[in-house]
Amino acid sequence: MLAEVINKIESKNTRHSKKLKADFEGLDERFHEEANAFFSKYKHFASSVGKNFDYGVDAYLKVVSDTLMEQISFLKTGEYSCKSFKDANEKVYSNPEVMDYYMHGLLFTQFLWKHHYEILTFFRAVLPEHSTHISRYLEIGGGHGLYLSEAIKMLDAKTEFEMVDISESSLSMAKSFVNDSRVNYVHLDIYEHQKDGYYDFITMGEVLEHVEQPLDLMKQLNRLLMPGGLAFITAPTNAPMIDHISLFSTSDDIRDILEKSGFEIIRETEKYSENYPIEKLEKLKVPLMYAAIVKKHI
Amino acid sequence: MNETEVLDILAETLKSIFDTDDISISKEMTANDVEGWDSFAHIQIIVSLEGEFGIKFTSAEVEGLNNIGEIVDAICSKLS
Repeated sequence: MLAEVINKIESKNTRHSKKLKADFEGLDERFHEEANAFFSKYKHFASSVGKNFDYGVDAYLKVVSDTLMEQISFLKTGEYSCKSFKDANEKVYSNPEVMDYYMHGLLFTQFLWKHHYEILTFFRAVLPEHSTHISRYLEIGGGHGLYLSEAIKMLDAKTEFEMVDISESSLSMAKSFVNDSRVNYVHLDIYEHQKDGYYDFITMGEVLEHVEQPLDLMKQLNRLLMPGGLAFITAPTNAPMIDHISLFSTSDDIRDILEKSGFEIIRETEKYSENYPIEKLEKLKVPLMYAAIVKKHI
Repeated sequence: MNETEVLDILAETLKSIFDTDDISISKEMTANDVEGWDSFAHIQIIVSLEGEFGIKFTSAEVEGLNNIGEIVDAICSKLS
């Protein structure tokens, strides 16, 4: 399936397929097995929502194209083009046509963008280390549902799973992709969530950069956790995309927010999107994905 | 500005971005012919050319300009 994806991409965007092939050379057999399994799952999922595999590939290439233009703007201005949630809502979240391809395209990035896959691998490594303490699992802004799907595989069958998202179309997509009746899907603005101190584990991947006040969001997440509860947080630096609002220039910007919102960083990792020497990565402000397991102060 | 002048500026742009004088530019040259001409380099080239010539490429052009000749033609078209 992965080979089929690459061939389809190569027929439409040779430059990008060259990058993907170079990235995949550095990844092991496990990646190829998992990518094949993932794209097989996607094929069935796409069919269940009235799409097909080619739609997924085209959606992914549209995301690549959008991101390229955002990167050009970012290189010129040093800022994300989206300035507010209102901007993002108008451009993306309230626009079903954009949301549709964007969610499908982002799903593909989880395996086609090496640094995204590496963060997913990190999640798979760290979650089981804490699984015996997890019985009430919340995912905030889960989007397509991939991380929730992975968590379900790794946690006890009696775990309560909940996904809260402000986007109905994201919830709908996640419901189809995750395909597990144990999950409670809640269409809600997380700031209105009343279950203070209820959850023992919260995952919030790639949400902080989508909000105007990421510190406030982390404080809200803190309120929802029980004392000593854990969270898995990811956020990118220097990653212009069509709906990114808050620019983190370095991982320290993200660490600062985590610590100011009442968390201790237990384990962390950061992965760049390109394989350049560190001097070039910093000079060109190459996107980086930061991920951490954090613990709420007791 | 004529095609030769555009080509000369393009050559200087590539030499600057790839930090080498060892680029012999031709209209048939593609990204495959230049080591390190990946997506990031492509973005740098586009931004540099837009600044140098005071033009703006569309997303279709950014992705679809496959060789030096096509880039030169696009620039000349925008300048005319």
